[in-house]
Amino acid sequence: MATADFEVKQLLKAYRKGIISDELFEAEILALTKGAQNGHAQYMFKGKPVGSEREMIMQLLDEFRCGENFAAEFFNCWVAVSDQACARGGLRVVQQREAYHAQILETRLRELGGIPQCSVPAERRDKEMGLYASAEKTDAEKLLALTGRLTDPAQALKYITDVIDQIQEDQQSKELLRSLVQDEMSSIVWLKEACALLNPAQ
Amino acid sequence: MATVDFETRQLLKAYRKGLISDDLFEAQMREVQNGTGQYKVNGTSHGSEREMIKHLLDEYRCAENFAAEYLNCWKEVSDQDCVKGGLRVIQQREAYHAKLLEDRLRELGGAPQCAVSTEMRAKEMAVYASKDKTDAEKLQYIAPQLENLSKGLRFITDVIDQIQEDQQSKELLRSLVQDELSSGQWLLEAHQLLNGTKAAA
Repeated sequence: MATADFEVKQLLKAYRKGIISDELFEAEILALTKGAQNGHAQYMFKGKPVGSEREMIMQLLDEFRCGENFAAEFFNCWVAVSDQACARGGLRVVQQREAYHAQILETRLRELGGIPQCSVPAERRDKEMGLYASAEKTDAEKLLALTGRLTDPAQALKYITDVIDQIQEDQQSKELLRSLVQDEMSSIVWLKEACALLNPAQ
Repeated sequence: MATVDFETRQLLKAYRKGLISDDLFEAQMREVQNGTGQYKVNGTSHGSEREMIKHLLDEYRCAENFAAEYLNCWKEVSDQDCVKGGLRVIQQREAYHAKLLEDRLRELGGAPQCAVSTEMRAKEMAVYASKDKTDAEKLQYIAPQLENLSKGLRFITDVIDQIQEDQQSKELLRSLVQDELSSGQWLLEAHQLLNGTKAAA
């Protein structure tokens, strides 16, 4: 039976000679890497294969950092226009959590030799800021919109927990991420409680 | 027995006629409003909800600031990668708590006053900043303080339970307690991991 290495070499030979198209080459390589999952360690991030544990962690650190940085930004705008004292108290804590997460994730990313690359698309930024920074919309409305996306917290955090489950070497990143997930769960629980309090009819 | 309303009306009558000073009126009003239900932090009575909150914010801020400091020293000399990862998160939590608590204290018109005693500082630093002690030993040292965490956090939760007006502080403190529970749970898990047999014994 042909080894994965042999098959990759054969594919490359065919591709280099122009015998197979770009699309076919890509599909075949993907099929091969998926097939290799049964044989030896294969790291995946958001459904895509990654070459090493370190690469997988760095991709997550960058995406997670980017999300947290933006969340710290829009929560800060929300705090400034919040119309409920009780919501403001919790939002300040959630905002600070997001801010320190972004900072600690960037520090770890740089320690592993990476640099921040991920950024929030302009459309998403406009959409989220239009909602959370709005002085016209109430805290109740904002909480309803936000928690609508958090009906299944475990699913929302799966892109992080999937990586944690795959980490075998880098125990520092693993434990760091596991502790941040705990914070995320605390924030989600609070947001849901606040939403229920301010939207009793929902 | 005179009702709170009656006492308030009597005080207002005396105040409007100029029979009592502003300060005396304010103090008397506080006493009437509190009645027998004084506001308390750690057994110390306070004249108003605001005073009680400011007292807690300052004490809690002080403790978090110190915890951020010694956890930072521990992290620097940590001998276990998995411990270092969790310590980094806990240290950052304590640091942002201290900052948030100080911000709220100042918003309520207070200023940081509480300080960690020299003896306590020396004692804790000797453990956590030590290169000679292992993470396992440090976790062994801290674990007994965390075994009844909800009791350890009562100085905060007792205040939360008494807050009726300042909903912002109440919700802020409630969320910070959640962080404390997360940190406590992680430290106990790490202790169990590194001192498994000893911890079980």
